[in-house]
Amino acid sequence: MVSNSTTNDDKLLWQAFLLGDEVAFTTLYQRHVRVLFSYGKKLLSDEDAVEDLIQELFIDLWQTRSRLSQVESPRFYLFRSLRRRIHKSLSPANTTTQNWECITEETLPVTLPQEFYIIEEEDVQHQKDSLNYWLKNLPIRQYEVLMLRYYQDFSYAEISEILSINEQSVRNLIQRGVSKLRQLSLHNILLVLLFNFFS
Amino acid sequence: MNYGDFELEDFLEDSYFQKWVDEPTTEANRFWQEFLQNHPEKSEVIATAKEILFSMAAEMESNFPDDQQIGHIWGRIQNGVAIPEKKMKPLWPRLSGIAAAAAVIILTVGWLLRPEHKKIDITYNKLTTSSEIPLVERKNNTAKAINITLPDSSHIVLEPNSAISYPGNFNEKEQREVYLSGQAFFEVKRNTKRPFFVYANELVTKVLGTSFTIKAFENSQQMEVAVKTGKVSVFTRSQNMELYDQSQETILTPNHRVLYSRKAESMKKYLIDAPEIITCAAITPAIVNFEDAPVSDIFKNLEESYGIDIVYDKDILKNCLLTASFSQESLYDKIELICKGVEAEFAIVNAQIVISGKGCE
Repeated sequence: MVSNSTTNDDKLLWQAFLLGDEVAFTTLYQRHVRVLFSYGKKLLSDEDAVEDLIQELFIDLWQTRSRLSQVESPRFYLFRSLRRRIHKSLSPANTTTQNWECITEETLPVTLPQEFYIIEEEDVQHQKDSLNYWLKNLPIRQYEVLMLRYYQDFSYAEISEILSINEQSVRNLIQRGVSKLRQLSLHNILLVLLFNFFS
Repeated sequence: MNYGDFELEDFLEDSYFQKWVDEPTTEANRFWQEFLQNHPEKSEVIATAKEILFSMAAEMESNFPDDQQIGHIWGRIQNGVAIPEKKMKPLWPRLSGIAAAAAVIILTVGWLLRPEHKKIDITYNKLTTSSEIPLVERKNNTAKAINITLPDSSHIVLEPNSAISYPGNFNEKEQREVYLSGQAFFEVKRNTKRPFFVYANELVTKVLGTSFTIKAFENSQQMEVAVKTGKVSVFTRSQNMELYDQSQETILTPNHRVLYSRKAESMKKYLIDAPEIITCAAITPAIVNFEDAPVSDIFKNLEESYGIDIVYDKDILKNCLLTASFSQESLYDKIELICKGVEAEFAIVNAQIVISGKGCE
């Protein structure tokens, strides 16, 4: 979760970077590389490809800095740039596999893992972990918007720009994601109750 | 804004709530604890929201690149933009030669001067001077506690006559390491990639993200670590200061503390004096009203909401039913009330509450 002061510092760093300040550029990289990498890896799952894209992104930034302007949120700028590069790298011209963007969330399997049904005595921890498990197996688009909204604190408008979809679609995706997680948590609680009942 | 009307989405969106999950402060803990007492029906949705935010952060952090990868990508960017390397790289390569030489000298001197008897008190000064990276020191010579924020935005309340040393930048090592003399309360910013270590004389406290108090004055024979939220592991340093003895590790959870006796070189676990309800005990909110409830249910709920063990004979107490309603009583008052109701007695033994009674007809 991102605080206001971080955003302000970022703006100053960006300003300095535009003027060719290398330290500011390094700092911007250091600050954002972790989340950018993690985000990219979630979407591409190929670490090398993510490294390449981040490398290109920052090299382009430095080389085109004289043409760039001051931005409100460098973090948003970086996310949007990376997201577009990922999108491009997945477009048909670049790959022979099915276009990821076209996969609707319904076609992605969302089934409970088998072990979910096995209630073992020492398995309370596992039940707690299962939300995490589900989060990992949430349709990628839903996961992505939830992460951008609740972990990265982007506004609906910003997310709609990062993903190049309209704001209403962002809202719908979030709504569906949350209700899926809610279902899961109910399921979880039922399991715990059941477990207590039989013990 | 009325949290009483909040649904799951609203909590997830709320920045005050997010901030509490991310970095729980004493103040925020109090706020949400009070809120839950007034709105027990919200405890489920709050637990879910908390868990979602936690899992989300954990999931993102689990994919963070390590320092080597970050350096590797940066190297490729440097090559791409042709920023002269000497400008970007810190001075470490040149310094490390000096550091190695210094280490050899210190080691040799240390060897020659090593006293014959084995017992050496490890103190703050020894620890801080042996740190290989430069440290920032804050001393509290005032009569009041002072607040300190570390570079990773962890928060420390440093008590009088205490000192703390920490690196100006945590990025240089894989672990976040700070040194304490005296007493301090820590609220550690969660970062699973960089565990947080507090070195206080012979004690080493390892945390992932949590809040706790350490008391370790150099001239005192006893040291203490008490946990408020989360989980920490405490172990001792061996004499050579380099390696610590993790076999003696003690895991501490909320409402527990460990005392270390320097004389006996041993650790013992106790309950803290005034256990509090753990706000993050996600699945089991503290129940306030019990009507004709088996006393074992009440104990179970207390165990879970305070994170402590209550030991009793299930068979003997199985017919005991109780109607009780709790408000602001302390844990021990609650236990005493229950004991009165079922004609039992309690004692605290080895960090557990032990109940003994004759049972009910």
